[in-house]
Amino acid sequence: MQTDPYTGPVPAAVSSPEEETERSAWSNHRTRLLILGGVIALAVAYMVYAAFPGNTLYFVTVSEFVDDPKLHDGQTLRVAGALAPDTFRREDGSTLSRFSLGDKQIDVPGITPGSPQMEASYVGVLPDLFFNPHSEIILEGHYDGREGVFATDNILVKCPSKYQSIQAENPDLMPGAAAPAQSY
Amino acid sequence: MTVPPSNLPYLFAAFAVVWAVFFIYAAYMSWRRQSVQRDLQDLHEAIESAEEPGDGDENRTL
Amino acid sequence: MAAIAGRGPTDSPIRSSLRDPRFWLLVATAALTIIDGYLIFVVAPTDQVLGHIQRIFYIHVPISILSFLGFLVCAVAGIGYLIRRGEVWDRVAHAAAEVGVVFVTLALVTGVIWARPVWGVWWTWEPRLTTTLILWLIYVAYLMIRHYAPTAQQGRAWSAVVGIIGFVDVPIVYYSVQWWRSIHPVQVIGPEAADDALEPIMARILVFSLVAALALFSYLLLERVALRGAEDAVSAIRRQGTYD
Repeated sequence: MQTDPYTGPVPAAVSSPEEETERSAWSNHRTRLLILGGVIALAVAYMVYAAFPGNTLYFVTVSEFVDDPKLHDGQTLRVAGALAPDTFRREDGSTLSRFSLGDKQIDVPGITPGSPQMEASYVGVLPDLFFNPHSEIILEGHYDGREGVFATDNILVKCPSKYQSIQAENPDLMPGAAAPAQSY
Repeated sequence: MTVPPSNLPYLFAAFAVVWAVFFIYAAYMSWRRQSVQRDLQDLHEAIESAEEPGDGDENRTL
Repeated sequence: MAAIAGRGPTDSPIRSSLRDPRFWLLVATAALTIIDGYLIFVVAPTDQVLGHIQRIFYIHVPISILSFLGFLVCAVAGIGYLIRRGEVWDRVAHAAAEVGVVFVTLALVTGVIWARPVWGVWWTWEPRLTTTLILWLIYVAYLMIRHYAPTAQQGRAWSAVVGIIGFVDVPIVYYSVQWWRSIHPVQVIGPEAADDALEPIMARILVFSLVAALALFSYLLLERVALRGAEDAVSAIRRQGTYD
């Protein structure tokens, strides 16, 4: 009878909150629940704010940005588009890049012909897929009125939602294959 | 045509994390269920022996 | 006491596990996972834009979808519990929420690992990611409420309510890429998927991966329900033993 299962763990397991411990447990638990609820509410509010800063959209397009002078006041925002051909410039050994974005064509690589363009600058390493014609480029930063360029803090690359194998030979979907890949 | 980047370390990291987490979760549950079932068996045995005459009373704490 | 399938003294552990359907589900899951690994790493073609990293897709998408299934089971069982007040409903809801949290956590982790090389950042506050993180928070709150509620009864009822209302976020997560501008790719599966989003071979491997993930999900869910059943049986006996 050394290891009696009734003596050891039982009192702890039985201190069921429904019984005599209810009062103290109630306030204790209620405090914890209130803290938990408050933390979650704050977290959700912050996330919604972070997802839509001052704007109800995650990003604006290049033409929306160009057409709306209210966005040129130096506020932080995201602008999405595609790299305009032959606009990328970077000195050898420098990390300062300058390039222009135009509106991205839907489901087709490259910019919409005749769309307005926005000049941008960026200091740093470019993402792998920056030069891929399928990529949509999202710039985080603000408009620098003095320089007349969009000063980019972060570059994000949005990729197509359609997946294609390398082996798939579908010339319609690979216009990038016709022109030599831009390499800088 | 542009050559796609390979990024193999990221790929392997993702699969390693997923398989490790599932394995640990399943192993933990299985281990815990076995230990709970052992407890249950001990309790049943204790109840049976407690119900035998002359052996019961000193087992009860309440 | 079906959860603790009778194991007589003459019964060896091996023989009793051979009778257990969960054992066979586990064997099937292991086999499907091994085949799936071969399909993902050897058979699946390399994506022309993303390269090898796109293979994460074959676990990221099934895991995400099964987390939705987990929360659906949790919400339905929660409704069942509120109507019938049966212990079994609560057990299933609790197990489904916990397994769902494991799945949605891994969906977030695989997404973060995929985003870094492709988008260029680990995380960005965009609609799909934000709503998914909220989903994670809702069901973590579900588990914490059970733990912190003043009485076990209240914990069950309150968490059922959270599980039911929280499910509203699941369609929001699914449709977020349609409703708002997002960096995340649009759906490749379900009612809003484009027919040509995937090459046929990729779509077939995705379906196989879904089946493998469903087997794993079912195993984990049944195992978790059984564990809850055994835990409940022990605490019921202990309570009886002391109050008699």
